This record gives sequence, structure tokens and C-alpha cells, in this order.
Amino acid sequence: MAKLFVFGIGGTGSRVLRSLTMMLAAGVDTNGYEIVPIIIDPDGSNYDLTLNITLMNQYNKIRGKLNFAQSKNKFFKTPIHEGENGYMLNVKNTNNKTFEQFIGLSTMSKPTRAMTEMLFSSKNLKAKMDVGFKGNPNIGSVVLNQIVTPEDASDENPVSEEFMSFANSFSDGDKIFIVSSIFGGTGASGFPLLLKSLRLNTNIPNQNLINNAEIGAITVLPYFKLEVNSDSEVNSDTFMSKARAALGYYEDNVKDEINALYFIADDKYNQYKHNEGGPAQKDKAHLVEFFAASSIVDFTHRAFKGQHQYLELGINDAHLKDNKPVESVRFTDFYSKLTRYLRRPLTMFALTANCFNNEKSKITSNSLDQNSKMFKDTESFYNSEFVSDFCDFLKQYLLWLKELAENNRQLDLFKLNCGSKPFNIVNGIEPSKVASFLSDYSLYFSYLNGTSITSGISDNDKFMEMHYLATEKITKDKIKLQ
Amino acid sequence: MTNKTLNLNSMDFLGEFFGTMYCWFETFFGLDLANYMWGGALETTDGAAHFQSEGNMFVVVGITMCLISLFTFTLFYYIVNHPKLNHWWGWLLFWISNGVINLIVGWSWTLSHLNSGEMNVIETASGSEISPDDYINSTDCFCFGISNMVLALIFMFAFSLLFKWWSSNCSKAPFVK
Repeated sequence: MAKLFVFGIGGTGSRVLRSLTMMLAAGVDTNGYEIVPIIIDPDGSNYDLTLNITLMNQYNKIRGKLNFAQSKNKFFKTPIHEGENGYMLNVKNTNNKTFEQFIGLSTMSKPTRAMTEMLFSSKNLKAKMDVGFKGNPNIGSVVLNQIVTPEDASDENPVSEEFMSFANSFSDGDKIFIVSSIFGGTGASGFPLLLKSLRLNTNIPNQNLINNAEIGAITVLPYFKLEVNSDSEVNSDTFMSKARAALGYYEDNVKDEINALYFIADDKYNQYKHNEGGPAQKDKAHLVEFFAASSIVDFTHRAFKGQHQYLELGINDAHLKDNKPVESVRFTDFYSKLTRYLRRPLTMFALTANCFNNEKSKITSNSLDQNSKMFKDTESFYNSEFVSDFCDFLKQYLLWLKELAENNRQLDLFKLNCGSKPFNIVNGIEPSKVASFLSDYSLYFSYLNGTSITSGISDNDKFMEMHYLATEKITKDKIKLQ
Repeated sequence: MTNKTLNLNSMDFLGEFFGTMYCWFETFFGLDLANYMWGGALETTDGAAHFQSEGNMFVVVGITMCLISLFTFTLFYYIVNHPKLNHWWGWLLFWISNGVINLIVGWSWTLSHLNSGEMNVIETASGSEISPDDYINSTDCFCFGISNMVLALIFMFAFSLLFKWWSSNCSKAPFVK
């Protein structure tokens, strides 16, 4: 299988990868591409980053216990590969260091030092880098240079092992996608540097393949504001001017180097609590990150043949109200292509998650007929680590959907409080009637019992196939999704 | 002629089959009621009179009991087939209902025969038709109903063991661990 290397730069990169992981868990089709996430974030304690890594580990733990060769299940089907050194592309020498220590300001000659002090403010020079570049792309472009320019390697500034590992594992047919924001520090500086290195670097393994690979990227334009904090170096009032300046740079230096460049923004700025980074920076999942993740899915389905495409993600123009986008976005507001990629798998997984949330005791006992047909010892299967991990993941999925629905603007795809009415789960879609005496969860259980499970597969695969096939049929017959 | 013989033989077989089963309980509901049900103008237990019935009535009662049990079984496993009833208690609900229905059917069937005079006996000495009060009473009819109930419970249990496997939602009931 071909691989798609997804570079997630900065906090936005991690948040978008979180959305992508959820989509992959739901079985969203990536056109056969395996995903290899590579996260570039000097703020290693960033909550979004740790949450996302935990989530991807959980994904792989579950996936590792499944076999897709015979099973019809597509939940967790797409592999998310962890590199030899983990998911991170480490930014070295930033821990407990200020920027001036990093560049060795004190050891510079007087003229060089004077020049450096002209280019960087004293606040920049004194900035600590263990929580990222705090919205300063001029710092980021210096620090991140280390990870992508092996020709400049030295003992003090060694070649990034993770970058070399990426280059070594790159094969013909693989693609690259870069996720970054344009209004911060890490993403705005990391993206052009990385792109330049991928296109022009000749000192890396498989350089010919990498230089000529299909590369896509999403540039996330400002979509939130931060509470005012005069002590902080991050000021969200500068987001737009930074974005404008960076776009000007992209115009001259980026646009011809990339096959697909996606843009996304939201003019409804939600105000987040001010944190410069670290574990306290807990922001709810946002619609922009969801759509940014969908651009990765879209990219896997496109063929470019050397062409360049500039694409905007968004909701269907036909759904504008008074020339403004709707406050609460649903599947019905998506463009048809995105609907086709996302609606059915996300609904199937949401149905499963909601069923576990509301009827766990029923579906994990032998009173669900299919269980007693599939398992020799139902109780011990449902007490297994695999099921426990799966349930934890489903909780994370519901939490993610809840955050998306509660953020501003809302991405209100599902009615998660539909309680005893499982088929009412998709907002804006009324379930159809089917010829059955049964209704609600009784009908749902009947769909689970009615699945035809592949013989000779493991208990884990049987379990997953049961939920996949049942929800596939429910979304076809009852919710009428294509 | 051949068909008639075959029918008669199959009716005889069913009569013997059900009669034998009901007679497991004959001391419970009374030998005289059993004699009446067997038909063929059998004598009462004291030999002083004989019944007037001709056909073996265990066939009618037995087939009715059997059909009701089969219907209740089908209702549980294949018509209602409710996932939430896939428990021992769900099956028990239908099993008991089947028993109660058959109790009422057996009781009311014999009681109606008793009250309508069909159980009247012919006194051997006088040749006159008299009330069967000395031989069969309403308690015997109730006991027959109970016997019918017990057989119905056995039949439904047997149907369940034999034919439940194709139920999509309740194939393991009543043995759901």
C-alpha cells in the first residue's frame, strides 16, 4: 500500500490529526493510502499534542488486534504508522533554552550580534522555546531549519533522525501532506521551510522520489481569538496581519511548489482562554480542524499529474443565510463530495458509540443473541482489554463530536442526546420506516443479530464486523444515507 | 376405502398417543373422566353405568393443546422475536401464558361437556340416562385443565428445544447465560 506522510506542524497540526484519527477510526476511505503522521511541535507538553498521540496509540492498539484480510469491517482499517522514533519529529535544543541561547548570541562577534539584535526584538531573544514559538515565525524559521537541512548539520546541530527515517521509508507512489496554520509561529514558519526542503533537498535518501512527489498542504487561516493578556507574547490581534504577510510570501515562494494547496478559515472568531502552550492549552475541537482533516481525505482521492490546484474548503454556498454561513453546520450543508466521503462512516461510528453509551449492558451480554452465537465465553470477551480500549475510544469519539458541536461555529452533525431513539442521530435527517414490529433499540439489536458474520475470523474481528455490518445496514435502510 | 382406512388409522394413532399421555394424570383428574374421554361407551369405574360417547376425545383436546403450544412457541421465537425478550424470563412469560391458556381450554372444554349433559351416563340396571354427578364433577374438570396445562408446558418446551435455532433474536432462550 502507498503511504501518505502527513506533517502536522504546531498545535493546529495536532488538532487536525486528532480529527483525522477519528475519521479513520470511523472507516473513512483514504483510497488505499496508509497514513504516516509526523508531528513537528517544539511544545512537547502541549495538551493537543499529547491527546493526539494518546489517541493514535489507542487507535493502533485496537487496530493491531484486528485482521482485515477476511473481515468485512472497515472501522480502524487504515493503518496509522508510527515511525521508528514515534510520531514526533523532534526539535532539538529548545528545552529550557531562550532563543538567544539557542542561536548562541553571547558567542557571536560584535557585528553579527548587532545584526541579530536588529532582526529580533529583545522579547524575541529572551523568549523560552519549550512551549513553541509563541506566534513568532521569525524565531520558528531559525529553529525549525535544523530538522530539514541535513547539509548544514554539525555536532551541535545534528541531522534530525526522524526526518532521515521519513526519507528512508519514502517509496514510489507515496504522497506528502502538510498541515499548518498561517497565523502562529510554528506552522507559519515550518510549512515553507519543510516544503522547500522536500522539493529541493538533494542530500536525503530517496531525494528524487521526494523532490518529485505529489505534495498537498492545508493552510489554516485565523479562526479563533485569544483573551487579551498583556503579559503574553501571543496577541491574537496580529493573527490577520501575520496571515496576510505569510500569504504574500506563499504567493512568491510556495504556490508553484505544491500540487494542492487548501485554504480554510472562519470569520466567526471564537475566543479561547489565553495560554501560551503546555498542558493548560486545552481547546475544544473546531469545525475548521474537521474540514482541514477532510482535506487530507480529499487529497488521497485526487490525482495531479504535475498540476497545481488551489482549493477552498467550506460549506455549500447554497446554504448561506443572508449571505452568511449558517451558525450550526450539519451534513446537509456539506458539498456533495465531502458528504460522500464522510457522512456514512461517521454516522456508522456515531451509532456504535451511542449504542455503547446507552445500551452497553445489553450489547455486551448473551441476551444479545449474536453474542452467544459468536463467542464461547461472552463475558470474558467483553471484559477483555480490546473491548475496554474500544469503549474508551468510542468515548473519545463522542467527546470529539460534542466539542465540535459546542464550539463556535457549531459543527452539529449528530443528535448525541437522542437517548432511546438511536435512528434520530443524524441532525436534519428523519429516519425512514421499515417493515418491522420492532423499533428504536430493539430494532437496532435486531440489526446486530441479523448480521452475517464471516466464519473463521477472530473474536475481535467478529465483534467489529457485527457493529460495522449492522450500522452499515441501518444507515442504508433506516437513515437512507448513500 | 383405502383413504378412509388410513384416516381412521391415523386418528386411532393420535387417539392412542394423546390418550396415553393424558392418562399419566388419570388418577389426578379421575378414571371416570378418562373413560369418558376415551369414548367407545366405556363403563364407569364401579361398573354400574356406561358413558355414551363414541369417539376418542383425547384427539381433539390433544391437537388443540398441541396447536396452541406450537402457536405460542412460534409467537415467541419467530413473530414477536423481540431482542429484549431473549432472557429466561422472556421465554418463561410465554411458557406460562401457554400453560394458562391450555388450562382454561382443557377445563372449559370438559366443563362444557359436563354442563351440557354430554357426560350423562346410562345406568346398566335400569337403562335410564342419569346425571354423571357420582362419577365426574367440576373439580375433575379443573384437574383435567391442570393436566392439559402440564402437557402443554412439556410440548412447548420440546418445540423450543427442537425448533428455536432459526430465530434471529432469541435462538438461545431460555438458556441465556
